[in-house]
Amino acid sequence: MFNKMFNKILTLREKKDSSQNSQGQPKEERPLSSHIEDNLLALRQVFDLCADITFRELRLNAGNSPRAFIVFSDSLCDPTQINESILKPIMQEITALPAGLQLTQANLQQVILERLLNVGKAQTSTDILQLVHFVLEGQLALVIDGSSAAIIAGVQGMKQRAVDEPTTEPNVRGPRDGFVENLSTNLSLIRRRIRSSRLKIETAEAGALTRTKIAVCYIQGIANDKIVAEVKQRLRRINTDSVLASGYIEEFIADQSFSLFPLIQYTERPDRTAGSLLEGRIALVVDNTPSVLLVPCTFLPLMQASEDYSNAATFATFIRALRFIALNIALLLPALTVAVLSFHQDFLPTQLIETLSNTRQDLPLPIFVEIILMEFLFELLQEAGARLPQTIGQAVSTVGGLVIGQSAVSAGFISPVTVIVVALTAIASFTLPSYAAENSIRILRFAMIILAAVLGSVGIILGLMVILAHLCSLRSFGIPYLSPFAPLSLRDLKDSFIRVPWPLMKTRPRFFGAKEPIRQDPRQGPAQPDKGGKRP
Amino acid sequence: MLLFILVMATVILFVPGITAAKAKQSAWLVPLFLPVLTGFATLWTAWKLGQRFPQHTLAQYSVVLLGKAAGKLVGGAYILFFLVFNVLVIREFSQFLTLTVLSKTPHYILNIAIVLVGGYAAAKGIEVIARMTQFVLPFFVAGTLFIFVLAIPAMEPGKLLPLLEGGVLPIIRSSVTPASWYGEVIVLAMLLPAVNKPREAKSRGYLAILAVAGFLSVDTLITLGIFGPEFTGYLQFPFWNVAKYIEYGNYLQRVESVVAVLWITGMTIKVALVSYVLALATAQVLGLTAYRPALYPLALVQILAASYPLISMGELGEILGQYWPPYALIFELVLPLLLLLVALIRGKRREGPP
Repeated sequence: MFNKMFNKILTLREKKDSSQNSQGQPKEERPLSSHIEDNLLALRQVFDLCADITFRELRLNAGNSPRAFIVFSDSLCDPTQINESILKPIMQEITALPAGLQLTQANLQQVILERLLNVGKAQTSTDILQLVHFVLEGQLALVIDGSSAAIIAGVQGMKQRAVDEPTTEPNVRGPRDGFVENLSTNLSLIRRRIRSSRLKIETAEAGALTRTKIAVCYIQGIANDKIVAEVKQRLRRINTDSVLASGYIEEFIADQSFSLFPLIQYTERPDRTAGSLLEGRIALVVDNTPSVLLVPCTFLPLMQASEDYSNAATFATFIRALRFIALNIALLLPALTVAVLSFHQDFLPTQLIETLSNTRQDLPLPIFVEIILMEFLFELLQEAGARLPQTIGQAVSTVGGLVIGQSAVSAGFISPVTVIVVALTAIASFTLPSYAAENSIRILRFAMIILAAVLGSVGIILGLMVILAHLCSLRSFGIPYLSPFAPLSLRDLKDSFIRVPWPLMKTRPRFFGAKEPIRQDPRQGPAQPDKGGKRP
Repeated sequence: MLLFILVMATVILFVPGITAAKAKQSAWLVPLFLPVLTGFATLWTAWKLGQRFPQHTLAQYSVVLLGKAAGKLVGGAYILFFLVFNVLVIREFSQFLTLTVLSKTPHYILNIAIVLVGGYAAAKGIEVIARMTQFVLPFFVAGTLFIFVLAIPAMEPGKLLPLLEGGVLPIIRSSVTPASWYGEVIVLAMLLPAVNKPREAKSRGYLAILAVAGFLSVDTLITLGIFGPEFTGYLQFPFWNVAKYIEYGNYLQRVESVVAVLWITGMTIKVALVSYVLALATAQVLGLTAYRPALYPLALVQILAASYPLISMGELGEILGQYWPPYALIFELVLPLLLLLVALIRGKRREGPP
């Protein structure tokens, strides 16, 4: 049934695509001329008023000294590499070719390409527009008089941030490298971890103006082919002029753009990306973004930290339990406080309610208003802290936490209970490993508070049921969002609330459609000493 | 791609919900015998019919079997049945909550709330309802068991004696009401075409009925053991009172809030499921292509009917305990059996889509 649905979607898409292609404009082509003057003029026209594009005219030291020129962007290329690997060979070393090799007009280009340029990536191009694209990517184009093909050589040398620890997903024991903005660096971080030719990296481009490169990474034979095809299909469908960060892509390819929960996971951690790839998921690396997209995404990975796999299994299980409790506190604690204090005071033991009501005597505001106010204040503080430079951020926390919190209580404006509740909620929500999940909880928390104020605990439960219905209806690339809980897959619970030790992680999660289910042989721990006391 | 367990799980889920509120019978043996048989009979009939028409629902094959006019009439009757059924469930929900948790809230607010939530889930389709059930079920079972275990020390076994005091007759007589609850599995007749492993649906269904019977029996046993037969008969929500009775020191009190949580979740799913079935039946009888447009007007009708102010709590109890079960049993057992009989006589079956 699942497959059937997928096929249906795919065929629908294909039909749409083919119809679009037949109507779409033919691809523009402008072949290079064999006269160098024409080419120079055409390229100068294209790159008019582009201060970073450099033209350098020169003559080759061979035969009748043919004219030539190179075009490159001096902001994207490495100048030493241009001098050493391009200019030096074609201007000096060209005179010292092995004996018997006659340079002619006809073989000049081939000789340069095959024998002279010492760069790893070189090819030819016969189209001006293609050449322009290559130059804008940071490659160098060499055009020689009399030839209608240009040599393109890769000499990129862009400035980039060094690989450092990911700030949003810090870690105690595991690896500390994090993705940076550069696509090839990021790919190298992944490739370093999965040194198999089965790790496939396919590139695509999106954004008519930005022409952002996107790499689709998956492990052949483990990732579900249909999902891979679907991802590529959705990427192809993106029709926009700009993609500046992976967040743009995320909203274009997600199953629903308006869901409160993240339908695509993002991470800054290469180890996490590699782990997800090995589970049969697909990673989308977008150029100029340090966050890599992981699809399909279910609720579970949002509750897992990569640290869980470095820690002892028992401890990781404990931490996960803690995290699920924190999730509930972050979502429900303020709402529960409102419900209990304004509707069901009898639900609490008498002594506790006495203590509570003592602290709340003579307060001007009802508990609902109090909680909403303080939660709002907390959201303000959080946003201010996130946007301000780090040095000023400290001042915000002092002003917010100490001044407002403390003095609001001592002025008899807010009850200490409210401050405790809000603080607990805040701490609990910081415990969640995924920032995206935390954001959805932040919005839902307010909804729950309002429901609690209207219908008390009944409102909270009904609200939870709506959230549950919503979660159950979500799908990410065809995978039900609450897998492996609903639909239930007992086997896959081994990495959910609990984390079993690695030797027992016998199979890959089934719900991502892993084709090669067996990960490893489970019987590989060291032989246990016999308990019967048999000794040789 | 519906997982059938879920449908059956729903049945387990909601039936104790009702019983918890309405367990009036004075013998814990009641849920174990006669009602189980009627439940099995209903399930068997629904399944047999489903086998003959694997891609049809009850509303659709009744037309095939009885001809257009009579078939539509039966379909219409079922719509009415599901509608009244749902209205009663909604009314029970708000009644229970106003009596226990939210004493000052008007009924209609709670009615609107649950119809909205149930309708939201119903609009998402049967798959979502089924998944919700699957997710909630472990919590539901754990919560119920939790209360059972806590309540056992409070029981006085002497109150259960003498066993079978008045002979077997009272047990049979008081079986009608629980029998009609078990008969609620008739919703399966509307859902079978959506079940992805119909073969297993039957055995799972039997299992579900047995599990429900077990839970109800233990529930009644505990209630009787704590309150005795006389008092239990007067209680409106015995399970609630059982939970209220539980108290261990200063720490473990107010366990009844667990009951309230279980009740609300169970009722929400039940309303969602019945709303879905109701909308589906309506759409099929009226010949609509989708069930969703039928949801909204029906939701409005349900809210209005459930908020009908003239029914008092006592009357609701009477309706549920005395008047409703015989009617319900007609729709749950008699009519499906007749349909099956017609199918057998006329030898009709249809494998293809409607």
